[in-house]
Amino acid sequence: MYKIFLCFRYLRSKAMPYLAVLGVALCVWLLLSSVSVMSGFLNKIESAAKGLFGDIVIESAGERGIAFYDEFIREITAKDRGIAEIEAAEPFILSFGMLRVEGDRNFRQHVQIAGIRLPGRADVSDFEDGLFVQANIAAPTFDPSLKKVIAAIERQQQLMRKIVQREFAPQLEKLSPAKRKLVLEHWTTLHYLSDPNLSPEKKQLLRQLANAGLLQNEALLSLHSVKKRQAELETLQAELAKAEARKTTETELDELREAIDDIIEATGMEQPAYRVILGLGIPGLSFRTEKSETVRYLVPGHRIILYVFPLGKRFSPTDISPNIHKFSIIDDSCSGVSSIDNKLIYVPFKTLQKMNNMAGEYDAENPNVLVSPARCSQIHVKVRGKRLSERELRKISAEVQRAWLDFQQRNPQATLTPVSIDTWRQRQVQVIGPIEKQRTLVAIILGFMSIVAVTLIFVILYTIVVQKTREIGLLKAVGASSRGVAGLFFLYGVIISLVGAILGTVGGYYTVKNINTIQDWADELFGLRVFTRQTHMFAKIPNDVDWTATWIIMVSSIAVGLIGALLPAIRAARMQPVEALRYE
Amino acid sequence: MNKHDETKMKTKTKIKQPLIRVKDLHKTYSLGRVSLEVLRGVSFEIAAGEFVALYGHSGSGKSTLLHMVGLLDRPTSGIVHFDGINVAKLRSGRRNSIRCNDVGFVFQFYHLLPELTVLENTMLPGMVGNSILRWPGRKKALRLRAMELLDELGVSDRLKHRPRELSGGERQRVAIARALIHKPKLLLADEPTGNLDSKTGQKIMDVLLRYNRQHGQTILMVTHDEELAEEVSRAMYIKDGRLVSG
Repeated sequence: MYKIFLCFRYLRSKAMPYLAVLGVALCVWLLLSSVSVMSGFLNKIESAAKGLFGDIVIESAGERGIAFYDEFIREITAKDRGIAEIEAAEPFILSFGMLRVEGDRNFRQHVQIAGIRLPGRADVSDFEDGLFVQANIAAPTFDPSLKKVIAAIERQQQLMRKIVQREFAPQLEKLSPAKRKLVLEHWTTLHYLSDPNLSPEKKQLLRQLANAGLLQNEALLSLHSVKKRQAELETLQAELAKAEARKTTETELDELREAIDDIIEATGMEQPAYRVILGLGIPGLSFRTEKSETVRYLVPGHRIILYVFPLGKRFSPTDISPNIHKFSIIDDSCSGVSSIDNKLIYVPFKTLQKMNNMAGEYDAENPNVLVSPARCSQIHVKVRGKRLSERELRKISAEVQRAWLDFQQRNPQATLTPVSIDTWRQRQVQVIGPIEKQRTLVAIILGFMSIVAVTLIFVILYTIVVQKTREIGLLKAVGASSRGVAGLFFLYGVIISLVGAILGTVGGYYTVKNINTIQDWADELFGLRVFTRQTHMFAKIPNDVDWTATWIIMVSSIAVGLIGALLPAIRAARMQPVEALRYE
Repeated sequence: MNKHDETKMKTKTKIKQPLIRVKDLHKTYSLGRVSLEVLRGVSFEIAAGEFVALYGHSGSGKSTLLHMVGLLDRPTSGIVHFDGINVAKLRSGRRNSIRCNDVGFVFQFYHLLPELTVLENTMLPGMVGNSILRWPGRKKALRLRAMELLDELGVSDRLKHRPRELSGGERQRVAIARALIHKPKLLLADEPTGNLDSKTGQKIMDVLLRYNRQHGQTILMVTHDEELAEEVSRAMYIKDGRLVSG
């Protein structure tokens, strides 16, 4: 009984144990926050990479791509003969091109164009998670309901109103209630908030918001007109399908096609085959506020023009001319990694196959004879089970390799250039490697700092044991055993390290969870901004606590405390009562 | 009375054993190559209820002898019988238990724990002797006993005070209360008045004498003060590790 009782009395009676607790807490806090943030970066890269490309990527070295991809996918995903670990696989085309915005002569942006199949894409990646209109819908398409599209734009406008209310509160206060209402309802009246005292940044924000609001209204108008003529369009499309089936005259078909084109032209909304999902972050098409909110200039309903450089066939560099087509924006995608989001545009797989000259070609005279098979540039494979280790993935990757070699032997035309099969980590090694090294380095440096904590506990306990020598003698005189006395000081060390570890963990947890707010405070108070939201790879500093690291850090800090307490406890236990009582 | 009755009487009369029986006790300390013989064949007995003073000059071995009897140290050779048990050979655990329950110590420098209150200091041997599971059941009785003792010793108004807030005499009274909490068979006092002025020292001595007379408490007191030795039932004089008288 006395061990616990005295231990708590000793803890309360001096400032030193509090210092030791503080030392341990600081070590744990620093280790936990830095390791968690770094692990967060790594996890973000992992989920973004896997979200886009799946677990394993089969890629052809040349631009001519992989043929008979669907046959190969069927083989590896077959229930009985396939590779059991593989859940799904999807073809993918990656091409290069240029983006222009309809109605804007000056805007030109080079982009990467990804050809994807929807909703199949959602089976191999977390593509659907980052969508704007179809967020978290299990089966996204290039033809979502107009209701959803309009609702998404309205959500966006609500957010913009919130930004206006937050950022321009003093200016809004000055306006009459009627004008205030007007400003929040009509983007054209946003200039009422203009004030000579506004900072250049605020002035720019006001311009950006007004611009975005007006552009979004245009898109909304177009979408509403599509909604009105949707029934008419659907009837015409049904008629065209019937006419095609009837094999009616070309004139009749052309009439129907023209009528459809007229509606498309009038409404400004292309057919699903010519719709795109924009990467959210393409420069000039959206902007990010200081609070990390994204405001879109271009929203679903707007049209863009894509120039695709067809690399899928032999060409002479001197006479390469782009395939050009108008596309309607139908959604946008945010993977969370700006290097991906700022240059990728997703278009329907078949459309890009055609524009990239990768579609299948048949003999002109005999349409049943395949001259050149349809191709894709990559196959993305999703493996069963979550968070597989790199070793496990490589094992499966080797099986895919074997399956491919076997497939290629049977289908020599499958690819003309060598094929590489890599795990997501192998593909991202240049990004992941340095961060992993940094994390290890930080853990080592802070691990050394933990030695300070051990020394601290050791010195404090040793001093206390020396100071308490006569009391130890007394305890033994009244019947305390050596083991009991050792236990008392051991418990003392355990409590110091345990309390320190718990405080450090709680502190670390809240630091990591609120790291973005802390960063904002630091910015406001000291002008210190380590992480620039508008330009950095991620919108936010990752704030997920690494629980594995937390347990390791907590257990090791307690172990470290025990080591620090061990020697003093042994010294206390070995004291002879007579000598201890005589100690001066 | 016939022969049969005589034998019956003899068996009925308990042969009263001495509480402490020390025989040919030696203690040698090794200080590197030099060895120092502090006790050189000490033998004596203390009966239950006796108040024995062990006096001698400093360095005579009186404290060492007290430590041997109080199970704080082991002799180099010889026998120490405590209530009929040869404690010199006992294992540490058993010795701890005897020290906790049957022996009470009063030291010259009180050795009260500064972090604890007067009441807690008094109850300390109770805490040491009881596990965390047994403690809740015993706490109340021990608390009552401690308060009773502190009341008897005249420090009941100081229950919540820390040792540093007490006078020397008060501290020693608390130390006596702590030593008596378990109603020990033997109270060992090592120069209990050595750190006090003569008036306060006398008061402490009166307390010990009262306890011996009223409660039959067996006491072995070490002192270098010959006058104090005269106040008790028996005095033993120790010189150069040997008992000279008593």
